[in-house]
Amino acid sequence: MTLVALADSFRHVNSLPIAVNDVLSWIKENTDYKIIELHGVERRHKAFRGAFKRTAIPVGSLYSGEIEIHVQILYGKDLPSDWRRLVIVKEALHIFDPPGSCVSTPEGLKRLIPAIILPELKHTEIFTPALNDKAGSFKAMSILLPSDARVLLAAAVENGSRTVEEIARYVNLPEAYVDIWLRHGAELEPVFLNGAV
Amino acid sequence: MAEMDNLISLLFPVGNDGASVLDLKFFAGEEQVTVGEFCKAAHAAFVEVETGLSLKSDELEENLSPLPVERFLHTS
Repeated sequence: MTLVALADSFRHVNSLPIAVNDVLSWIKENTDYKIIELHGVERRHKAFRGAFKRTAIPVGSLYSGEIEIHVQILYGKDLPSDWRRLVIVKEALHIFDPPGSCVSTPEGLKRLIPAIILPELKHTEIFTPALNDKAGSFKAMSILLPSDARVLLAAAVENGSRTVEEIARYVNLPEAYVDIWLRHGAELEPVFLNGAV
Repeated sequence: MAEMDNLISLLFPVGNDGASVLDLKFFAGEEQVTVGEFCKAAHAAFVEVETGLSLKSDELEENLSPLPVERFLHTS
């Protein structure tokens, strides 16, 4: 199953907010990823909001070649619920990342970290996994604020009957992301869901 | 850089009973930090996980009250 299949299954959800557990359950039921652990952690310097680690662990007898895939999702225990929801779903969706977007070596990690924390493009190395990492939050928005609902809510902002702040509170997601998604989701969603990054 | 080396040693331990890291990703935080500070913070978080001090669960406990979009749009 793919990220597009996940998005398709949530596209028509009409009752919001979508529970994070509904997304995790879909992944466990429809992919090979059965072991997904959530870990609330302390944060130093608020340097990161979340992290994702996917590990292949040998099981069974020696030389059997059998493995289990374990996924660990870390999130800041201090995050408010809107950020916590976005962070966990963003990290969970990395199970769909293509091999070229994965960081599986020390060298990859050395390239990833500077690329995701530097705010200015001029010092940023173009590294596919880092682009993928930054795109992840918008992929999560496409699941947590699905297209049918997004169209109705964007129209309400456009005609002045609702504010972005009210909608962010309703869907329990960070206002800055809701604002971008309501204004640009129609163009961004196909780009992010079709695996361009 | 010592902080990066420490993080690499933690996430890519030699041997590791045959286990291998397939992918690592991060969601950047609110504060601008150096690479060293980021690595130190990430190291501390993964140590918390490995030593069993994190808040571990299979599900996220949420107290949500879902409401149909149409009803939300028609409530004042």
